[in-house]
Amino acid sequence: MDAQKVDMFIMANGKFFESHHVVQIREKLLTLDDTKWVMIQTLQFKDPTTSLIVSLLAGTLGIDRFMIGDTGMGVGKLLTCGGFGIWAVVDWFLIMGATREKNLLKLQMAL
Amino acid sequence: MSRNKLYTLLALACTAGYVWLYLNYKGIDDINSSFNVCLIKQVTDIPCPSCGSTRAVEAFLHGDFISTIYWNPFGLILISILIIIPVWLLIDLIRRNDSLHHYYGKAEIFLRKRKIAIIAILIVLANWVWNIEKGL
Repeated sequence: MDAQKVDMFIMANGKFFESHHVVQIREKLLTLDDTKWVMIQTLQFKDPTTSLIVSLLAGTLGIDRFMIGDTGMGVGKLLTCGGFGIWAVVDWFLIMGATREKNLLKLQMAL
Repeated sequence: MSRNKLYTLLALACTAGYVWLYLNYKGIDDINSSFNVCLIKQVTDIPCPSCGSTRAVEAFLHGDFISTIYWNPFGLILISILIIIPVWLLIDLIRRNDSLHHYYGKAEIFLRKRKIAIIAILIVLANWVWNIEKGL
């Protein structure tokens, strides 16, 4: 794929991925052919900041985990009052990273 | 989620559950009656959908099934998880199998179906309203 297009994608979507993954994503995209470009453009990623807000407000109910697609962990949080309150607090710090990991998985599934 | 990460998390969660039950059995409530781990209840004074689960499990252990349902029907789910998961986990570890991981993935997909999700959310909301009514 054209380096200019790839850089445009990275600029627009860089915040949705872990910084150490961005280099790999860039290299991977450069090897792809142009037919994938439209599909990659249409992908919708979850915003880590949004999940942090949800986690702060409704983390005890596990809604942050449900939102990023970790249904099992969401049920776990919901049934235990947010893991006795501890897991809910831990997730305030983990949820942004978890969202970025999910975004990477989504991109990998699409490629 | 990878198999080993899931199994570590489940083992930790079950251990925490049993430790919590033991602490309650030993009477942590008597030492400090305001001891409460639920963030929602601490902050807003409104019980969360799963408040009362500990009392439900304790009632179950005393053989009082009606109280189990009264305190919180979700206690039944927790009891089944606390009994089944450690056994399943051990069997999987001994056999070097990943059946629990496989079915965890299937359960996630099942719960994500629109109809199932809506029903589950309604049940949780109904239970929440009932919890607030009971004033747990």
